[in-house]
Amino acid sequence: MRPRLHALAAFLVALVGLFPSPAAAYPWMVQHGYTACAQCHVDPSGAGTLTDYGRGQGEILLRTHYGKEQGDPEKISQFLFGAVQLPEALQLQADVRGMVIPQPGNVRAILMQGDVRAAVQAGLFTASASVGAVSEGGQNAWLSSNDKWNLVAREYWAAVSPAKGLMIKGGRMNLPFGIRTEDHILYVRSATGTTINDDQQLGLAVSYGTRKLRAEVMGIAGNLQVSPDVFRKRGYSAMVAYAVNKRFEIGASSMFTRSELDTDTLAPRGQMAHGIFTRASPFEKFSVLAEADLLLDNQDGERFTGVATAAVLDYEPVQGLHVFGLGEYCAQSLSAEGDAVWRGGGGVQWFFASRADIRLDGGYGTIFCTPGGEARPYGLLQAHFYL
Amino acid sequence: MTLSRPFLATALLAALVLPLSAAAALKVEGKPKVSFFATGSPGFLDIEGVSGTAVVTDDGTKLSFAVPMTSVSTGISLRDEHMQNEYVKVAQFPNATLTVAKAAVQWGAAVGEKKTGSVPGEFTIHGVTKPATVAYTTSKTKTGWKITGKFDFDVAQHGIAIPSYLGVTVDPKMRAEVAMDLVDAP
Repeated sequence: MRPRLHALAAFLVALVGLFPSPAAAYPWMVQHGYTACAQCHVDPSGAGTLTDYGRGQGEILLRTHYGKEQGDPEKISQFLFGAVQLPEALQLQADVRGMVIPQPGNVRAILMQGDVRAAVQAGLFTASASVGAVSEGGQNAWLSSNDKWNLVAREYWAAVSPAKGLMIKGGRMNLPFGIRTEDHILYVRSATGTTINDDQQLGLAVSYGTRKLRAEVMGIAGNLQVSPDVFRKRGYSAMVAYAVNKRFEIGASSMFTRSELDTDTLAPRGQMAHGIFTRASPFEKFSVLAEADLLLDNQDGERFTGVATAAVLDYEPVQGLHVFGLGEYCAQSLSAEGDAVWRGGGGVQWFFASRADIRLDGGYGTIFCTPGGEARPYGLLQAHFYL
Repeated sequence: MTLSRPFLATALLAALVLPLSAAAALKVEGKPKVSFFATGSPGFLDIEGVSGTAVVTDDGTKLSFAVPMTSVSTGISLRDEHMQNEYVKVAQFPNATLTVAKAAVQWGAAVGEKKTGSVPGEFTIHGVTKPATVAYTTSKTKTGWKITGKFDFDVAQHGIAIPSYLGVTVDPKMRAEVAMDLVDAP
């Protein structure tokens, strides 16, 4: 194998640990007129277990129908395609997401997500939890500690809704910050530690939503799945978003966390991030997602000011087939020479059948906002389905 | 030829009144936009059904705006099918119609002149007619008038079942908005 192929293969292998995709969250649904998340997800801030309505939209809006008339999805959209009738208050869901690495002479398959989810919505009360397995990655959500194949619990929370649109949640939850997306290698997600892969934290949150507004603020008590306690981050995370209309949302986020020791630097660390974001669909079947975050980092008294930005364009020429392009830029320290990194790429995501999609990514740049990280070509193929 | 006094008086009156109101029969020009807005809960679902078709009937005293409900699209074909067949029942009741007294509407006379106000009307959907208060604007253009109007209505009062699907229930209180250009019919 030529040296260049060796380098590419090594890089693809490295990506295995970098792309452990979590549950689905599709912020480009704004191009279908959905600015809010609460119709389709049990968590009103998005991602995770689907509601009946979300399952229905998975059949109606997400997948390709190949010219056939859309049938009523009321039964087929249910858990196990309606083979089991669940109580009205209970939602069950199983997600499997895998990735194939086509290394020269060695095709590897990795399980990135094998989660079982359950949610109960009874009157004012809601509870949601997930447990699963991954072959690699997702360390912050591990329940076990093996080199390979670990149990993970990404979220477990309970909530009460004392008034319309208001929810008070406690437990391990996704952090309310920026655009909630499954694309967790975006700099704006990874640099702020707000992916929905394994960056959930234990805490107490209050979310509020109206037709135009959605907001959530969370007090962070730490990640109990990280030990010892000195490594746990504490602080707050908050976001607010306003829908100017059903195809245009603007928002702002703010976060502060502090840990006695950081898992990377093994020194005291305080981190702040403040940013703005938008989701817009200026014309049918097309959306723009953009976010810019200011990063303020205090590593044992040494202060850094950085920035993370991302823009994603999505076009759906045929229902279920998404062609996307992205560009992002990040610098952990704007004053440090050579610190900035960037990535440009794109791909195709095709919801080709009921509850099933494949996604091909490719491009050039640095994966993650790593100071001085080398820009390289990258590519990967993912497949996902849920029951 | 001499003009009789009653004829002269009528002609003078018409000359005075005509510039101040859309006295001739009106018709739609271009593509109108008619929207029906609804919300669903839980989750604050926003639904907008849009039609680009409206027929205006002007008998000199009343203006009627009729929208074929089969022309209303919510962006999801299955939802359109439910709306049309299960709720509005378009086979029996094909149109939604708003009727207002023409004289109750203020019409600008000079190009660019804009009038706003509200006018009582009657809204018919699903074959049931209920009163509606329409907030409107009219703007005189070179060729006619640009008008907008909006009013609230309650589908339950029109005998339409409250839509509920996959756990989301639609609020029976809805809103209609219209925007179109009107010109004098030849």
